[in-house]
This record gives sequence, C-alpha cells and structure tokens, in this order.
Amino acid sequence: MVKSSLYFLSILFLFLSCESKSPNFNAVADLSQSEKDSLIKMKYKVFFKTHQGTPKAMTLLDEIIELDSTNAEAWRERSIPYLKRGFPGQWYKNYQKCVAYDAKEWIGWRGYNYLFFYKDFKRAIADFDATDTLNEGFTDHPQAMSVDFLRGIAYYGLDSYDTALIYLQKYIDEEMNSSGGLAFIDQNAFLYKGRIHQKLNQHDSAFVAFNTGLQIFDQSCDLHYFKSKSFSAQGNLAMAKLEAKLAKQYFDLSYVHRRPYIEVLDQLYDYDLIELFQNLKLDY
Amino acid sequence: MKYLFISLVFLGVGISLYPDYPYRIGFIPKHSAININPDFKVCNNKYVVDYYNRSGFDNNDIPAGYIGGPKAIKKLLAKQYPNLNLKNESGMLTIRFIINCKGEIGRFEILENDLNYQPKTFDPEVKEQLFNFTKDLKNWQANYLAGESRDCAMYLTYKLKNGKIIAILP
Repeated sequence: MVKSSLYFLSILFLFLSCESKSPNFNAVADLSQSEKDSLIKMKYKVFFKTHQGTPKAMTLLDEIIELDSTNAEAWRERSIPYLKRGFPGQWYKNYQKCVAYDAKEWIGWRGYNYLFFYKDFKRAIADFDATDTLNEGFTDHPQAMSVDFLRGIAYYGLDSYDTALIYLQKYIDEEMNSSGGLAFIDQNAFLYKGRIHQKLNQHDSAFVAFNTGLQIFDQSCDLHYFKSKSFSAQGNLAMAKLEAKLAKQYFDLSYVHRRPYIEVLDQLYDYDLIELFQNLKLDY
Repeated sequence: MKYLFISLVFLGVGISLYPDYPYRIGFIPKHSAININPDFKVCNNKYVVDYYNRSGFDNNDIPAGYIGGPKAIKKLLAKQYPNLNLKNESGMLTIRFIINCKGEIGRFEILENDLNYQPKTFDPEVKEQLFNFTKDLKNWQANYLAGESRDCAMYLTYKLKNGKIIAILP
C-alpha cells in the first residue's frame, strides 16, 4: 500500500511540476502593448476577487508586474499584506517601487503607513511634505485623512508641539472653510490639540479644544477622560469625577479612539480608567 | 497514511500552481518555526487567520492581541526588566507567532531590520532577551470571528533606538 501510494505520488508530482504556474501565460516579450494591457486588466479582475496575501493573489500580482514592471498599483497591493502582517523589510521594498513609479498618487499613502504602522514620524512628515509639492494647490487625503491632520499627529508623536498645533489648526480651518462646518472635522484633531495644551500645562486652552471636540461627538471617552485629567490638575475634583464617570460610561460602549491594525497615540485601555478612578477615589 | 497522502497531494497542487508562495503571506508553518513548547497546538491548521481579521458584519467579533495592547507590554517590560541591556542597539526586531484559539502562543519566527527597513543582525543577547520576554507573555486574546475563537498570526515589533525601546508595534 505504502509503495503504491509513493508511486502514485511520484507520478502526480511529475505531472504537476510540468505545469507552468499559470498555464495560459504567454512569453511577455512576444506580446503587443494592447495584449499586455488586456491581460493586466483580466488579471486585475481575478485579483480583486481574491483574498489579500493568498498565494493566488500574490502570484497574480507578480504576473501583472512581469507584464508591466512600472505598475505602481500592483507594487502597492503586493506590499500591503507585508505591512499588515509584520514584515517591515518586505513592505518597504515593495512600496519603494510603488512610489518610484507613481509618487504623486502614492507618496501620501506611504506617509500614512509610516505614521500609523511604524510610528516613523520623520519619514511620514517627509512624505506629507512631498505630496504637498507633487500635488500643488490640493490637500492630499490618503485613506480619507487630510495630510495636514496626519502631519499634526506626526509632529505630536515627535513632541514637536508648536508645529503639531499649526498643522492641526490648518486642517481644522480648511475643513471649516470647505466642507461646511464642525461636524465634518474628526474630533480627534481636537483631542490631540487638547493633549498638547494639557502637556504644556495650558489647561484652559485644553478645555477649549476638548469642548470643541465634544461638540462634534459628545460621547467620546477620550475627550471626557483627558478633560477629567485637566480638571484634576486644576484641583477641581468634582468636575474631574463627573468627567471620569462619563469617560467610563462611553468606554463601556466602546466609544473610544481606536484604529484597526495598530495602537494609536494615547490609546486608552481599561487600566487607564481604573487608575483615573483610583486617583479620584471613585469606585470603578 | 491516508491523511498523509491527501495532505501531500494538496501540498503538491499548491506548490505547483503557486511555486513562489506555498502559503499565504504571514502564515507560519510548523516546520520552519521556532517551536519552544512541544505541547503548543493550533486548533485548525487549515484556517489560521490574521490578528486583525473581522468578518465585517458581526459586531461580536474581537480582533486578537495582547490584552492591554502594546502600551501594557511596554509597561510590563519596564517593570519586569528594569535593567534590560539593549546594548545601544537600533532597529526593528519583529517576533511573529501564532495565537491559537485558546489564547496560547507558539510557532515563533524572528525578523530583523534596521531603522531604514533593511535587513540587519541584532546582537544575539538583545535578541534573546526580547524573544524570551515575548514567548513568556501570557495575556493574549484569541481572535474571535463569526462565533468562534480562531488561531491567528500575530506579531510584535520592538523598535529600538540607541539601546532604548521607542515603540512596540503594531
């Protein structure tokens, strides 16, 4: 039985190894440009139905790149599973190619990745500055976030508070003037503004920022939590306790600042709230 | 024998169709992993998801990770190893592993990069200290997806600059 199984397996492997990785894949050099274009289109169609990072998806991307080595989107797609799954070197290598072939489109996105996935604030800022130059007269929005907001966060990460405040305000002003008001602004821009003022012991300015954020979303655990901290720092324990209770109420409803994949700057966990309650002599 | 035979056939087909990618990106096969604990088992080797996977329609889904996040790991490291000697090292030491459906970790692999994302080799003692600390971490949330706890691939990247941990990712 064992012998016959092994014999069958050898035949099977011989048969399979004679197959090319993609049976209909012609020699690239013999194809005209329009043939290459339609093949790429076809392969993308299949690719978008695959799951990210699967052998089939990655092989399709390799084939697209073989047809067009300057296809920035394919290089980018190839980089993303490495980004999300903890391969800094592989992500970087692939994304460098993407930016090399279409910097205008993708350099802002690279900055976004540097910022959130690698907390590589300096490189993120360099990319956000570069996208300003490449996209003159237009504020780039990688992953639907203004590069000014992103730059504000990156400078905050570097503890460059003055510059962070400039960019956070720039983002806020731009949204106020273009999109029709406060409701269109991410409340976390006010969260980080408030945090900066708080760290600089400018608690009155911090309150202005936190309260503006709360006008956008009054159930933000983070805004209430840090507001409580500022009240506490000012010795107003009654208000500190009130805000701490609101923070917990909204934490329990999961209204807390999070992003998928990564931990954000100043992310709050239950132990932060427990500590706050202990400091304020409150029962958690 | 029957199962071995079927597995080999599947492996053969997979390798033949996608020779450059025998597994999905991020999967850690047992044969190439650092297997510290011989008792570590995944619950379903054919369905190992990623730590962040959610089904998108089930609000009860829970992504996997260290309970308390990287912030808690950083605090724990400072508490347990106040005199950690990272020897002026800089770079990103990534430890990848699987959290099984019971919240246990195993099948480790280590990736080493400098702060310019290029390959590098860390000082062996630095690597050993951070690896030993990681493998002993206990407080893991398994990925809970579509009504079941799943095995998933996870990673921690220790970002070092001049012998100091400046961030723990993701």
